[in-house]
Amino acid sequence: MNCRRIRRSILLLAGNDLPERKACRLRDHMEQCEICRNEFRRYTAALNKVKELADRETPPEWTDTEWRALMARTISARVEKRPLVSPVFGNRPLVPLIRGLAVAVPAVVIGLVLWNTVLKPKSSPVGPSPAYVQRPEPTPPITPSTQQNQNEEKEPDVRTLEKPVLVARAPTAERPAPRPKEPAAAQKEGSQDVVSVTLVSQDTGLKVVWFLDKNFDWKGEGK
Amino acid sequence: MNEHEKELVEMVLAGKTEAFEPLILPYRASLLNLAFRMTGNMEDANEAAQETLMRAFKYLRRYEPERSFRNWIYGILINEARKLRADRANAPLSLETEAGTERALDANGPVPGDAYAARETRSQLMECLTALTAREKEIFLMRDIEELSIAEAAKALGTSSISVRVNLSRARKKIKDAILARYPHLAEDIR
Repeated sequence: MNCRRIRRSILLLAGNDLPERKACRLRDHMEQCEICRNEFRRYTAALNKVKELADRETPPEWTDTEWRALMARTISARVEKRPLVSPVFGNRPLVPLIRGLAVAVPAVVIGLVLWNTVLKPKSSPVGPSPAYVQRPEPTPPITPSTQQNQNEEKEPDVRTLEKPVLVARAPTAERPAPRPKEPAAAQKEGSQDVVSVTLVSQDTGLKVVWFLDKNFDWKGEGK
Repeated sequence: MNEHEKELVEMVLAGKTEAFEPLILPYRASLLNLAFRMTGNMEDANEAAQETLMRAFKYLRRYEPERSFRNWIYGILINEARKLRADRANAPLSLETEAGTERALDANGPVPGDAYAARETRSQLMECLTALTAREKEIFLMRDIEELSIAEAAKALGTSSISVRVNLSRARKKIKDAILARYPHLAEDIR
C-alpha cells in the first residue's frame, strides 16, 4: 500500500470505521511511515476535539412547562389506525400490487401467445368452424327415385332439427314423419321439448303440422 | 429495541396514549439538541423537534420493532430538518432567524461563568459545522456526535453505507481544516 491510498483511508480509520483487516494493514504501514502516522494523529486529534466540544456544550432544552404542553398536544392527535404494515411486505403497501402485476402481466402475455400458437383450433379457410353444426338443408321432395336413396342416407342429427320439414306428394301427404331413432340424445340436449312435423302437399298446398313431445308422443295438430 | 420500549409502544398502540411520554422521555434532550445542530437556530430546531414528536406518535404503527427506536425517531427528525431547510431556502430572507437564536439562548436568564463558556464553545462547534454541506453535516452528526454505526446512520438517513463513508471522510477533513483555520488555540494537538 502506498501513502496516497493510505491517506484516503486514514479519515475512516480515525473514527474506527474500517474493517479490521484493512485497519491492520494501515497500522502496519503507519509503523514504518512517519508522514502517514502524523497525518493519522492529526485527524484523530481533530475528531476528539470536536467530540469534546460537543460534550462540553450545554444542550438547549424544553422547560417542564413547554414539555408538558408539547406532550398534551402530541397525544391529543390520533395514532394512525390503518395497519399499513403487512406481515410479508412491511410498510410498503404498493409492493404487493407491483409484485402481483409483475407476475400477472407476463403470465397473461404467455397465455395469449400459447393460445394463439398451440391451443387455438385452426379454422378452415373455407366455411365455418367445425364446432358449429350446420342446419341441414330442407329435404327435397320425396320421389320414388330419391326415396330409396334417402332411406339409405344417414338421417340428420336430431339435435339440429328444430322444425323438420317434410314435403310429400299428395298420395303420401298423411304419411307421418319418420320417428327419430335417438330420443335420448334430444333429451340430453334439453333445448327442445316440443317437436313439430309439417306435412305439405305439393299439389294442393295443404299443410298439416303435428306436435310431438320430447318423447315423440302425440301432442296435437295444427294447420 | 429494548423490552421496555417495546412494551410502551404496544401500550400506546393499544390506546394508552399516556405511555408515549415515558417512551419518548429518554430522547427529550437529544432530539432538540440534534435538531439545533442540524438547523443552526433555535426556532427551527424547536419546530423540527416538535413536529418529530407529533409524527412519531401519529405514525407509531409504522414503526418496525426490529429497528432501534432511537434510529427511527432520528430518521423522522432528519426528514423534518430537511423539510424546514427546503422551506427556508424558498422563503425570503429575514433577520428573525438570527434574532430567534439569540432570544432562545438568553431565555434561560443571565449566563454566568461556566454557562457562558459553554455557550461560547457551542458557537465554536456550530461554526465548525458550517464548513460542511447539509449532507455532510447530517452524516457527521449521526456518526461522530450521536455515535450511530455506519449502517445505522445509512438507514436513518435513507442512503447507502458507501455514501455515508464517502461523505464522512469529506466531513472529517473539512472539520479538521475548519478547526485549524478558525480556532488555532483549540488545535494544539492537531498541528
